Amino acid sequence: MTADELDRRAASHPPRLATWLASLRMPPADREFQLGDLAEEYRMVVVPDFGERAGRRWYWRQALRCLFTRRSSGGVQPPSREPVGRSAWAGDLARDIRHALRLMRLTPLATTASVLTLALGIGANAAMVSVAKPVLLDPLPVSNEDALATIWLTYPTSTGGTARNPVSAGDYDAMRGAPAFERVEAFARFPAVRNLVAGGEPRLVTIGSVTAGFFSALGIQPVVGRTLLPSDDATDANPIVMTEALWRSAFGADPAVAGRPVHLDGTAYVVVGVVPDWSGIGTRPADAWVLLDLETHIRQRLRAYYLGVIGRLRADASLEAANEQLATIMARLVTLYPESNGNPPIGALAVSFREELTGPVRTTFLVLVGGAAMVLVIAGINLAGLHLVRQAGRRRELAVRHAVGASRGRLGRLLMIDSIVQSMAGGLVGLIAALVTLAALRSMAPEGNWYQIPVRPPLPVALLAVGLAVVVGAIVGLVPAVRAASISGLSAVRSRVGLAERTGSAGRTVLVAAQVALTLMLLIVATLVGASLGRVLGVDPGFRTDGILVADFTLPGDRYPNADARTRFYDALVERLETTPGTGRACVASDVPLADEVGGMTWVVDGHPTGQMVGSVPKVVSPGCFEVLGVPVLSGQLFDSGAPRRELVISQSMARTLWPAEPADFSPVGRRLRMGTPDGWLWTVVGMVGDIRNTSLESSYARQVWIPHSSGLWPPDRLLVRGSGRPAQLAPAVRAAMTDLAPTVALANVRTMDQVVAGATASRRFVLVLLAGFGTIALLLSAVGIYGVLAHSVEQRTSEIGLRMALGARGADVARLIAGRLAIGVLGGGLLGTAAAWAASTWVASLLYQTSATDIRVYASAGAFVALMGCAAAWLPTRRAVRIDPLGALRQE
Amino acid sequence: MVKHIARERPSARETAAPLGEFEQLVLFALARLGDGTWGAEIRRDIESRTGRDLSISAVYVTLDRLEKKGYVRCTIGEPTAERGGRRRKHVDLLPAGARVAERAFRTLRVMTEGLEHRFRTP
Repeated sequence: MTADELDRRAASHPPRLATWLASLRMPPADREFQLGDLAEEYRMVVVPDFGERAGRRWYWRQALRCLFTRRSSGGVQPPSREPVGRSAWAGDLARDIRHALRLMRLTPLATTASVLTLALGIGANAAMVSVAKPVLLDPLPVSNEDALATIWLTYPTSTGGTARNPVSAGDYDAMRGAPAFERVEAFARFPAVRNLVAGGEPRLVTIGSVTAGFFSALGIQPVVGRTLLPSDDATDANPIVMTEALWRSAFGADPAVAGRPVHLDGTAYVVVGVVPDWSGIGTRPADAWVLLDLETHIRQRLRAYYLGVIGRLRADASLEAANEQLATIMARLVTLYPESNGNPPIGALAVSFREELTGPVRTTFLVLVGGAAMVLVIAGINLAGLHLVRQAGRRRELAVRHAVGASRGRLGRLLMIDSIVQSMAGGLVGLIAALVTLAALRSMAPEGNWYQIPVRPPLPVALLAVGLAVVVGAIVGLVPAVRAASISGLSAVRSRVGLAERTGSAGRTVLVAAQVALTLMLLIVATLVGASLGRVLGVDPGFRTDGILVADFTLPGDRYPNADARTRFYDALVERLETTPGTGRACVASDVPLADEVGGMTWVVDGHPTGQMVGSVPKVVSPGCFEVLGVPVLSGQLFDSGAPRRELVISQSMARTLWPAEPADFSPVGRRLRMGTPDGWLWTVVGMVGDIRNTSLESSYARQVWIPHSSGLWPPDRLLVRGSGRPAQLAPAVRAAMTDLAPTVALANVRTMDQVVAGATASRRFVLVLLAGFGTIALLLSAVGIYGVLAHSVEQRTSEIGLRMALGARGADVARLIAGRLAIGVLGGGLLGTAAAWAASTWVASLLYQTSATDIRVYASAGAFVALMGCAAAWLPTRRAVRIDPLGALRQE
Repeated sequence: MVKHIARERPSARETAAPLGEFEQLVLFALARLGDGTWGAEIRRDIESRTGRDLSISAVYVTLDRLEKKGYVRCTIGEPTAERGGRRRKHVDLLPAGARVAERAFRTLRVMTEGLEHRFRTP
């Protein structure tokens, strides 16, 4: 062999990981020689004969064999020989784990019970923490979130509070002067739906509008190309940035998309970049963004409050300093523009961006995570009960092991590892349960949130879940382990009624009490949320929700350039739909109640002495909408679809606010209003209709102003059709009518009004389903826990019961003996749970609607339910105890 | 006919510590490979003859046991490059070891005599 060849072979290293694994169980004294032998054989024999690849395989096989070699292999081992050191420890551990696995195989029922119990707890927690992590723990996907603030306008309310309002262009312009902010950017709070044409078929997309520096203020990094830039304001080209989702669906994720022309309703735009889907964080969901041109509105000081404003603080500025500066600026505006800012005096408030995003949902998520944690605690208690029962069954085995030389510590460790191995299995099954739960949650989660429900638990959560399982296993295994450590040879032969049994039952009563307390608390909260949802669903929205089909559409600006052309199209569309078989009335509207957020608009009574402006929710509609929605006409008439006239229909609450001095049965028909300011356009009120809930079922009736679509104020882009049959069946006919009239206009978001209402209550349903789920699991686990404790107790005390019965005890005495202490546990737990729920009521109150968090009926019904569960769970074991045959029991002993 | 096999009396220690099957195999390998051999050679010899999958650890555990019984003696060699700078443990068969190996061999031979037709050999 040449020296070169020797060198080359020596250089070929055996796999290091395999070497490390092999060394784990080698005795330190021999490790050098054994590893040396492996390395020598690898280099000098195996690699030269079979090549490096095969050599590595061979080495791995050898290493694994070393790892799993049984110390006793190959010889007769003296019984006294105890391995020492690390390898001995590893060997014992491996043996204990093998023992635990064997035990699991041998007792499939008990194992399934403990694994499933823990899996429920771990699954619920892994799923809930995965859902809550982005909201409660993760940093927001923006740069330096602490320096970001959301800015609102504020005005005093009639009840003495302060309300927040979106910002107008003029006020936004003034806010930019606050020196505490490095930059102040704005977005339109009401994204528009537009036809996007990028070569092929038009598709309806949601377009947000932001100021040029918006994305850079948030610190959004583009995926392709760039984001919007301040320099874009000066160019003639219309830049557009889109989300990754739109980029993938409309452009097949073309990396060269930057620079491509697209058309939005006939207007040419140029794609400048692609940004992550969540880039509009803090705004409304959108598929793409264009520049928000505010110059005209700033110049006109247009009193339209449609802007959301985000500011980035300078490094040395605080939120308090920013708010002081904003207050100064707004006070100046009140003096400068008293008609727009002085009545009522408008202020401004900057709040933390994170608080703005996570604040509204934080309590909900904390309650849900808390609920999941309670399920885990209940599962842990059950598991502890199961293990105690199991250990009681193994007492003789353990005593024998102790008698033949196993130390107490060794026995304790055996039980501890037994418990941990089972818990780990429970943790793994729990992760699978979490996967299934997350899939279910994704399908029912409310839409349009800035946070996403993950497909699978993130790695840290998965590790946490398994870690939690191990911790629960260790805690649960602690009591049996300590008991095993205190085992004595005597207990092996002690009779079945032992002192240890009696002392154990007190501890188990406490565990039952804890379970009942947690279960009751969960049930009370779930019932409160359920009652609250019932109240919300019972709210009269002021319009009929059944039998209506809703769809979004938008007319391209090149084909329908002016209000007349658009109005003609809307009238033709409505007429076409109303003559289609199966459909009733149809209409177009600027927004759908409970589905769309709308801006505010002020009105002034013509000739009002102080020119007081009254805010309202404006709605541009075609005349059929009142009939489609079933909004009652209270006085006057509805506008017709004739020539454009400045005529209005107002809601009852609007009329009362505008003319507070008039009597209740007063009719505003014929009165005149000015739009926006005291010198705005003059409109005549022709009718008064009932109020409807516009933003949500929970909010109070909004003051509505219904404006005819023929006014051309802004284009209505929602279609509402009432049908005689099920509304979903109208969809094909509606699509066909639209295609006939305008082949290039796409219908999107076709849904029924009932779905819209369901969407408006989706968050409540989501929370209710989760809490009800947790409550049900808790109830089941507690029932199983109580049953287990009692059944075990009856089994352990059979001979005692037999003896008592032989001496004259009656059934009632036996029942009291068996279930008496448990009844105390259930009662104590019930009181504790009620107190805890009461204490948490202020916290829970934020989840409720018109439901008192301390509603005594809810507490009583939940308590009765838990008591019923306790009785049902105690029924079988107690009956068994009462029916024990005294002679048979004594004979058994 | 049964042949007598106890030509010389084993020492008290030799009878007190009966040989395991694997210990016998290691002793036979040592007898074949001669003094100064080492773990890897023994492992390879047994593996190639018996077709058993053996780990080097099993060989060392057995050598350790045989050394404690006084059948073999181990000496430590110099580190070499092909062993990754590790030393080699050489093994010599001691007379006591040779004796128990011989006795095991003879026992096997007399006990297997005439069984060829029954156990097909490869």
